[in-house]
Amino acid sequence: MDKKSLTKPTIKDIPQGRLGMWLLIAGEFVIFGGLMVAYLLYRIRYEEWAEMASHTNVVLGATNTFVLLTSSYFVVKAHQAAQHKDSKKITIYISLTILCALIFLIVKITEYSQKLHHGFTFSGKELAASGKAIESSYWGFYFLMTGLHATHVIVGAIVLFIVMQGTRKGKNFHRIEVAGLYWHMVDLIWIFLFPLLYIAN
Amino acid sequence: MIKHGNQPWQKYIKNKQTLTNKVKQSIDMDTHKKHGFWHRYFFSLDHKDIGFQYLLTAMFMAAFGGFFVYVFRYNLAFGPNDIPLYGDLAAKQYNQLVTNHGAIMIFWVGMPILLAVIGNFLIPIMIGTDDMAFPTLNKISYWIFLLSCVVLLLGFMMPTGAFGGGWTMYPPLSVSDFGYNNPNTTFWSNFFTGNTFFLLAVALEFVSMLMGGINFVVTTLNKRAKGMTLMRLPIVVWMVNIANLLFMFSVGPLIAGAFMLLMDILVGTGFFDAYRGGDPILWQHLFWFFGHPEVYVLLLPSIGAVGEIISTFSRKPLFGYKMVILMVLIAAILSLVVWAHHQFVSGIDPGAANIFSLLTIIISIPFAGMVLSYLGTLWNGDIKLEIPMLWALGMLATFTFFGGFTGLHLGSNVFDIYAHDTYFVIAHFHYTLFPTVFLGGFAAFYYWYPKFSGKMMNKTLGLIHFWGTFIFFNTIFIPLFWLGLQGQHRRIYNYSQWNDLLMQPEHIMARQIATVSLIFLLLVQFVFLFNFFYSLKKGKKASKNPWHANTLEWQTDSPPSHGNFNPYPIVQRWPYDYNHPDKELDYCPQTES
Amino acid sequence: MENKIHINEGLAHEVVYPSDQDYHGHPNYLRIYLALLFLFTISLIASFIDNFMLMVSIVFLASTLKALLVINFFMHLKWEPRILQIMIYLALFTLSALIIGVYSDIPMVAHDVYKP
Repeated sequence: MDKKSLTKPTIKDIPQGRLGMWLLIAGEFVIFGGLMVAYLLYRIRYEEWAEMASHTNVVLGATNTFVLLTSSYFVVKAHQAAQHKDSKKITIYISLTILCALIFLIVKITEYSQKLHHGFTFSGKELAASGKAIESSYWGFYFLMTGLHATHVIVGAIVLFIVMQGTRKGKNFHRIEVAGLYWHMVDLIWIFLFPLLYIAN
Repeated sequence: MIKHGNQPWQKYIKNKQTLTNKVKQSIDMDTHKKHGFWHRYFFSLDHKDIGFQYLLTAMFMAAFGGFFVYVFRYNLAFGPNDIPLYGDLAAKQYNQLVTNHGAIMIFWVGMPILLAVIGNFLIPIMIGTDDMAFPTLNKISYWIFLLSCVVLLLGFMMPTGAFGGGWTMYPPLSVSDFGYNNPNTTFWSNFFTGNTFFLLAVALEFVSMLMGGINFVVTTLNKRAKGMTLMRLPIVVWMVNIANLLFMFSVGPLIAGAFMLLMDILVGTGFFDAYRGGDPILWQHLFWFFGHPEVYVLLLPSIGAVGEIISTFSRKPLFGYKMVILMVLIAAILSLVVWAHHQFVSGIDPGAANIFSLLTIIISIPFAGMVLSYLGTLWNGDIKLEIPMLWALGMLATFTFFGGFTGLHLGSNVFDIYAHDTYFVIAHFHYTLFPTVFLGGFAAFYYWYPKFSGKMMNKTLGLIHFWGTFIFFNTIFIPLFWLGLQGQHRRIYNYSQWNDLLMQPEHIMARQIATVSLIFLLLVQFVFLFNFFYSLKKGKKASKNPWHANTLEWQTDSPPSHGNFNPYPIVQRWPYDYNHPDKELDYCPQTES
Repeated sequence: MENKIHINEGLAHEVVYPSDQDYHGHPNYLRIYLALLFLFTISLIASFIDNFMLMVSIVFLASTLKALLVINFFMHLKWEPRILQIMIYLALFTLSALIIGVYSDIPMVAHDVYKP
């Protein structure tokens, strides 16, 4: 192994797939960041939203945080296994990650059905009609942010599954890391969504 | 019995067969150009072909943008009835045409030409590699771009007509007929409207440019030829990459905002509805947070190309190469914090307005440094007034003296509040973007045409095209500066309905001068189109390096074959060693030691 | 092909970084995971504090620390070249610029909205 690249990597030493993924992640940060900034500004402005925020289910949110943190750990273990070309371990860890993604989505669906049951819909028309016009757009943010995030979870799980199939045939081990980076980004976004939507009320 | 396929000699032949097949495949890759029309223009992975696809699509869209401006300018000067080639123009259609003219010229002409065409065609050749880092992603981003064009044009066929709420899509106007405001609408009736299609088209275009941008940056950082350090990159490659990064960092909030606006229209959420707790001002912030860097996203590649051309045709090293890069980086970072100067009259906090005003005026310092270093390059140079050089000088002159200086005035909130809703802003804006997109774009086009087509362009036609465009462009917008300072409001469909509103003969005259100049400007472009296709077929054959330039793309064939270089270059020096004292020739290619 | 050391000659399709050799190390992931869980517990406990400002600051501090742990160790940004780090943090800088610029226009404006 080239000694120089071990000690001080230059930008040219990054594999291009990883560099591309990092740039995509930077772009995604700004997209979600824009949503969070918009939400945060309104949240500071309206005291009415604090009451709405107390309707979110902290237990379910905390479960999801725990599940995503754990899945992040599994992904990074899979990445470590990929460096030893250990496709058995990769399969185990990635399957566990996908299992975490499924648990996350099931919890999310439970949460959504609870909210819809209480009359908190995405459009908030029902709430606005009942005289709570300002409060109604809180749920717009809630569903838009978590829904967009859940879409990323689904995409990430599918990508991980495809990449895992590739490594089982014994090729493209480096893709585990690239797909893993994407998965960590999904986790990072949730790390900030959780306190924004669930805790601060 | 001899079993077939098991004898050693049979194996040998089999191996040889596969080997020849492999060689054949690689030769097929090399003679990529010999594939059919569909293969080349629709399914090609070659960066040069994809650049050409972007160019043709952008020219097609530019025809729409040009036609729209002709129709509504004709209406402003000579009234809405019996417009040649169009017919009568209703007020609603006027709004639609103005909106789509703005959006098309920025998103579907400026961005593809300056980012995608320059980036696709030049980056791999200039850094000495064979193709993009992700060729398939490159193709996909072109397809998404094409899809966005189709979606935008489909908007004109919707039952409610195309979107007519201004290219900035300010919320109360863009949502008021739909969503929560109109209980009679459903999701699908909201979907098939010009508004939704416009938003979707813009979003698709952003996705395409984001993917392209990631590709360009990764290519530049990761696939440079041996010896091509960052400080040996041609200035245009630097500029395209900084522009791409700027685009990536600033477009996110607008994509988020576009989601929110789309949901306001489709589902009836209240993100920007004041009654529901939303705030329309937030949309303006999200939009201009992207909208201001967007101007620099367009400007930087163009000014980079101008830098190449000025250095080549002055036969002098680019003066202050590192300073230009530093200045551009400073300007790029500053451009992220000046956006609210577009909103001085929309009711933002006056204290914040002062800060934004100050920052806006500060941003002129790095640009002044950049222009100074270009002037330093011209100083005492052996200037050769070839066609690309004329365009480059025209771009630099008009952009600086009219676009930049009036920008200083408008950046101050004191003056802006007076001038914001007048034609002064229109003239300022077009004096920044027309030189950027068209003068700079044509400069790049005439400069690199020999490389990508292998033919020289006709010089006489080029001269006619340049002087026609340059003169008529100025005669359009100088009257508009004057009209704006006289107080002509910029959002009026028919001035003859308002007799107290600047209907004196001299005002009518100024509007007519602008419109007639515009018609001539559009006619001159046909000279260019003729020159383009005529030279492609019958032009003089171009040599490898017709301008005696240093950068890597001039060291390979014109046009470059599939794979660009054979063998791959090893870079020995920076790209601007013109009139080097140790050298016999007045130029010294980057590959020479 | 797999054992090829990463020397980029500027050719597409030929750049294969050997997946078992990389310039970033592998820290003890279990410890980082436990640290993440610890911070997560802190933010959960903090959510019972009555003082709103104190609670919010603790929770967001914990979140930021969690994010830094994930981005530096799980995503190995710590080992990446300086230019990439700058690019990623610049993205976060743009967001802070946005929030500061908009702050005086949304949260500080009194909302006299029509209420039925």
